[in-house]
Amino acid sequence: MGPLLKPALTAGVALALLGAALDASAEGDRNELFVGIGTAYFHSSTDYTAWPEGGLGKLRYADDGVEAVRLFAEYHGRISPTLNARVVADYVDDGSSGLGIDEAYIDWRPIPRSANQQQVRFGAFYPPLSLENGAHGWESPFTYSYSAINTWLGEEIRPLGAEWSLRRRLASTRNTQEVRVFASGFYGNDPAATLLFWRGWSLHDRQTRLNDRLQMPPMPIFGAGGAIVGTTPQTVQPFTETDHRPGYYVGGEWRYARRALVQLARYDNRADPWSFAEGQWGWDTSFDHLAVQVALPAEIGLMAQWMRGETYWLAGAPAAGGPLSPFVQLVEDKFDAKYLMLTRMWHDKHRVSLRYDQFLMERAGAIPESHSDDGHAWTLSYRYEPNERFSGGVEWLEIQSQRDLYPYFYGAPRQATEDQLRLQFSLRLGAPARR
Amino acid sequence: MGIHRMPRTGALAAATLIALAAALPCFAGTLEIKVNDEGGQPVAQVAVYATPLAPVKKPNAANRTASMDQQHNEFVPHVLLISAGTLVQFPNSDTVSHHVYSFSQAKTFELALYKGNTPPPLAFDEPGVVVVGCNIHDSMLGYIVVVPTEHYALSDQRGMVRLEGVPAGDYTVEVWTPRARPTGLPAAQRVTVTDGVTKLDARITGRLAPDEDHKHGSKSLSWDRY
Repeated sequence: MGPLLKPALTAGVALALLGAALDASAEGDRNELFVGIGTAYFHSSTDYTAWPEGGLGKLRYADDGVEAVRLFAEYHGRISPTLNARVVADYVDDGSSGLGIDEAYIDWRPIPRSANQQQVRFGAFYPPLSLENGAHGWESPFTYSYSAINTWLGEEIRPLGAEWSLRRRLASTRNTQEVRVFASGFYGNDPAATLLFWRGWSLHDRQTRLNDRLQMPPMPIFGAGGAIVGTTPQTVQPFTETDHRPGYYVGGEWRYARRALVQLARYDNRADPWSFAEGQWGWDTSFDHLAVQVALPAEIGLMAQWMRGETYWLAGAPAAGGPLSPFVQLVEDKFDAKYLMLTRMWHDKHRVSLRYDQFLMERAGAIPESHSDDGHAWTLSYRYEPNERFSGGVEWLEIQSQRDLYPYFYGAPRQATEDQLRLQFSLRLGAPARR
Repeated sequence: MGIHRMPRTGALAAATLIALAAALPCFAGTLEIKVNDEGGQPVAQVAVYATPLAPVKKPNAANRTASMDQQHNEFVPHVLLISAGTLVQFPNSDTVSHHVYSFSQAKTFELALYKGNTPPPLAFDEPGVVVVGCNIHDSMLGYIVVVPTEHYALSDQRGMVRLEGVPAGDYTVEVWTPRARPTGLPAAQRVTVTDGVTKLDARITGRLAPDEDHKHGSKSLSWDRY
């Protein structure tokens, strides 16, 4: 049991009471508060320390026991009928624990006067890429552990800026089809891919909060005898601004009613890989992203996302104004991840989801300490939602990966298998998460 | 005496004739319309309405009310058929707020973000199709079909519509469904209603959009962010 479970439960009770109070008031027209509490028992099998504790493990929890997974509150405050403030805050007790803010933005949706519908967001928010994380608190109604792609989005991608989107319903198609384009310019998010590079891919449900400092896994070049002693940031703050160069993402989406969706997007933080600020390096990270969602016959839902990108970083760039290290080394890594998920609901209560993930991080010719990560994962999840308040479920997660770092650090085989069985209980207050 | 009786009988007969003549247009008939697709399969939930050709007193619909609910991020019913002048309420049975709007010519309106309290009903005076959406949940879509007559109904599972008590006279019968292309809808048919049952076929051509598309789609997947 996590040492912070007690305060977590106390906070949970407080949030629950607050949620219940809001619930009872029923006058939720102006403000809405959604509260979610998740607790789970984990039974894990891994040789590595969990990544939030600074390990190379891909699991969030490496030990067996009950954990207060997350308490979150999502608040929607109406400023005017078309202007809303949205804040998601949560409490977690692993990594840099405590309270934190996940998203905070102003959402403006003017009433459409034609088939064109626009939306503008200002603040810190997720780009609209994940097909999984559509519930309140950016949680997933499908599996407890997110796919490798969306886990990483939750860890290291959070633009601080503005996003504009335009949606058009095509009357010529009897309103069955619609297209949407979106574009964002943002600051921050320059160290994105730092954690992905050092630790590799992961599958879990811990979202990095704006003020979080993530533990770095062991890093050979930063260790004694390593190349860049003394300039080591020991933690990653993925949303830091290091170079005052804005990044962007753009995308387009096509939908066929509630039956099919295809989205293409590109993200580029345009970070200067030489930049260093507030103890953080800039990593020039960009990726292309494809998402497909289709309603198959027999009420089976299919989801797939594919991400392919690269990141550049100059290890040994002058840190904090220091001299240029003689060991300047260009990191030029490619990453690639995809997943395919099938999901189905029975009687609006039972949901079964099966997902296959594949992920890769590689740097051609990087020896001796290649940070390559090559693996796949299976996730099988069953969720029971007897009503809108409670849900329980069981999930089996198996991650297989090959990394040169395993033998390097631990004298362990290159190949690692990490398994986790999870029994979860969740409570929703305010208004329930959408299914 | 007889002479005196005669005109009285004649007056009675004349009065009866006049009364009959006056009553004649009041004979009411039944219109039975069958809606099929190209393949002869029945099409359900099609709006069918018969509009009298002769100008009649505007239907007094001011005290009629109808309702389009919001349940599980869907408008229920998906197609609401009303006569012009009807008041429509938009309750929200969901636990999240909706922001109902339309930019359709027949009725442009918006009901600002609401959840618990149903806003006052809105009058739909202009005939036409009103496409209803939610500004928060993009995939929500509903249709309000406003017709200039009191003789209307949605087709049932057998594609049948039975309009009873239609006063004898000339009518145009029109059909509308969001599933058909505008070019696939049959042209307005002229029909004379007499005492008894008048039968009519309406055939929709072209491919129909699947019925469940906007209503549910797949419930196994998420189509809106909260």
